[in-house]
Order: sequence, then structure tokens, then C-alpha cells
Amino acid sequence: MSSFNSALTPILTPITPFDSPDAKRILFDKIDRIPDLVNSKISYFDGFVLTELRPYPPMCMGKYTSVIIRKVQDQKEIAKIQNPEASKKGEDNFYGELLSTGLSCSAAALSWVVVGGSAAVIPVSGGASTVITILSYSAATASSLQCMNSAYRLYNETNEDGSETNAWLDSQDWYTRTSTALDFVSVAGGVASVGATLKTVLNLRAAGTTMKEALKGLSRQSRKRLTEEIIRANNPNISNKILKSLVAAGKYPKRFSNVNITNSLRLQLKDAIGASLSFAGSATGGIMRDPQRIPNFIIGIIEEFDVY
Amino acid sequence: MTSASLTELKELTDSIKAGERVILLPPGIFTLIAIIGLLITATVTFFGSSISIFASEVEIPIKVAIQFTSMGIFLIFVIFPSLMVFQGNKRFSTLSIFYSISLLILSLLLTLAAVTNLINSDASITPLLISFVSSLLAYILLRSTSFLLLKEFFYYLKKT
Repeated sequence: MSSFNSALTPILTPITPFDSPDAKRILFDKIDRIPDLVNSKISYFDGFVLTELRPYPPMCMGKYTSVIIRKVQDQKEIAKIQNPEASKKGEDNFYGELLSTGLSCSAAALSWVVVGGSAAVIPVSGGASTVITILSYSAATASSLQCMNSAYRLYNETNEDGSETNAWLDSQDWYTRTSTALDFVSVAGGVASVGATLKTVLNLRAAGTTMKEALKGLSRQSRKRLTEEIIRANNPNISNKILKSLVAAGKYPKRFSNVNITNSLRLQLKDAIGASLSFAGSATGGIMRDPQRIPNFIIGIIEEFDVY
Repeated sequence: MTSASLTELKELTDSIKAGERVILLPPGIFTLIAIIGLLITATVTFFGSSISIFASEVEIPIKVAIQFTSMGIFLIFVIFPSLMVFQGNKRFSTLSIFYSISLLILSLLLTLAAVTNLINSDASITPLLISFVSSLLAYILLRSTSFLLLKEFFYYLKKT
């Protein structure tokens, strides 16, 4: 009978994040470093079941202290516990949702402009920007869906029981994960465009010019130098001889035209603005604000005392 | 659109293909953005008010499921055709036209039903009216010369 009970114990015991011996040891060490909590009882509450991780030691003590660890679902709950007054003031989320909708929809609009611009610019770049185009297609789709999601949240906020719907959504793991994924795709598009812009700035600097000068129009020599720098950036470790032979073979132009350079730079700048909007949207509630998206815990300490 | 403007458009796309010109803003791009924005507004207000009318008593997960289904529908009928237009497949825009007409008719029917008390609902008719106006504007823009120009531009640009 005892063997039957011991076989059943692991099945009946609720799973906690501290089940492994290592996790337990780290947790107990951290708690025992606080002098007032040495020899305290430690329990974990998952919302339904209270699991004892460490009992009181079998000896008489002056005071009995219990540490209860509880998993929290969302940032709002932490804010409520850490600062209840500030949390009360933030109950009306309408303006927050309005800001979020404005940012994500502006980012979506700009990403569609970038998609249109990059699709029309492909023949010039010889298809080299296909990866960036795919990223911008995905980013435009993701930011459009984020815009729609924000619009729904804003609509929910205006309804009587809509705030409950938003709160329920925030408490769902799948929703957080989906939002994170959409945010990630949107930010990836932003990172790609920022990378391309940085590369452009570095090329311009290597050619001895600035973006402002390039937008105004460059001289023949500067354009030739810039063209060579771009070829070098695309083909690292290329020798002067090979570079010249590639230009002579017509694989690369001798120099880009002023129209090509200024228009490409304008597209880059537009792209960078779109990226900054994506980052701003992410910073208000996405992965850039909460990069770890790891479970949070609330730790409560209860001290038992006798009354005579 | 006249044949002269089509010829001009073809010359423009030929010069882009040859690498002589770079277009930053394709013709009609802002019309497409306006269409997407209007259809987002129409979809959100229509499905939001439909939930308030027909599913006010259901549980939150079901309401959320309806909202997310509408996002899937939007993806198929608006986002996918828009991306296809950029690939030069102009015929896919019919999906968006069908979607805007469907929203237009459904929001009009629901508004009329709410006004004439055919459906017992405390829901405000303002979102339904917003949905009706947004889908009507989106439909007008979908049939506009500006959007037609965008479709033709990418069609010529991607045509080999």
C-alpha cells in the first residue's frame, strides 16, 4: 500500500516552477540570505493549490515565518500590488489605447509606403533587396494586424464591459505570445531598415560625403567614389583590379546617377521613420518594453505569533 | 483611364525597369493606405457592434474568438489582395471590392434593423453608421482612377 501511495505522489503533487532540486536550492539560498527569513516555511500557490516547498525545521523557534510565492498573470497585477494608488489612477486606459492605436496604425501606413517604394525600386538594385522586401511585406502585414488589434482594444474600452475583455486578453498566454510574435516581425522589419540606413551612412562616410550633401546632389568624382564604396561594401576584400574589371564588364555602373542616389536616400530615410514608429509602438507595450516576457512572481511573508 | 495615360504609365514603368528612374511613391499608394484604414475601421465597428447586438450575453472567450475571426477574414480579403497588387496580380483586388460591398450591405441592413426596432438591442447605432460610411468610402476608393493607376503601374512593372 505504501509503495502504491509513493507511486501516486508525483502524479498528485502539483507542478511548481521550483520542482527541480537546483531551482529549490537557488530559491532557498536566496531566501535564507535574508536574516529574518532563515528557517521560514516556503510555499507556492498557483492560484488553486498551495504546495509546501519547505516545512518548518523540527525545532522550537521564537517566531514562525511563512513565505508564500504566487505567480502573477500580467503587468497590471504587479502594478496594483506595488503601487495601488497609481494603479487606481490608471484604470481608465482609453488614452493609452488611443496612443497605441495611433502609433501602430501610423507604423502600418508607413510600412505600406515602404513596401510600395521598395517594390518599385527592385529593378534598380538588381533584386538584392529581396530579403528586405519580404521582411517589409511581413512587417506591413504584422503592423496592419497590430493596428486592427489596437482598434479592437480601443473599441472595447468604449464599451461597458469592454475593459473586462481587454483585461481577459491580457491575462491569456496565447494572446501575449501572438502579440509578441507580431511585434517581433514588425520590429524585425524595422531592424532591417535601420541596418540598411546605417550601411548607407557608412558608405557615404567612406566616400567622404554626408547624407545632407548627397541629398542635395553630388559631383561626378564623389558619385564615382560612392559607387566604388558601395561595390566594396557588397563585395568585401575585393581588389582594385577586380573592381575595375567588374565595372568594365558592365556588372556594376561606373557611377550612379544623382537621381538614383538622392531617391534611394529618401527611401532609406522614409524607411528609418517607419522603423522608428515600429520601435515606438513596441516600446509602448511590446517586446521592447518587456523584453523577457518571463513569468513574474509575488512573494508574500506571513509571520505567525501567539496571542495570550 | 484613357489610352494616352496608359501609354504614359507604360513609358514610366519602362524607364524604371531600365534603371533610369526610381519611384519613391508609386501612383495611388495613399489611396491604398486610405482603403486599408477605412476597411479596418469598417470591420472593427461592424463586428464590434454585431457582438453587442447578437452576442452580448456570451462569454468573453467567444467574443474574442469572433474578433479574431474577423482579423483572419480581413487578412484574406484586404491584406492578401493588397500584397498581390504589389506583385502585379491586379485581379485579386476583386476580393477587396467584394468585401467592402458585403460590409456595406450588412452594416446598412443592421442599421435599418436597429433604427426600426426590428432587433431588440441597447447597442448604439453610431458604430454601425461609421461602418457603413467607411465601407462606402472604401468601395468608392477601390473603384477610383487612382487605385486603378496603382494596379496598372505594378502590373506593367512586374510584366516581363
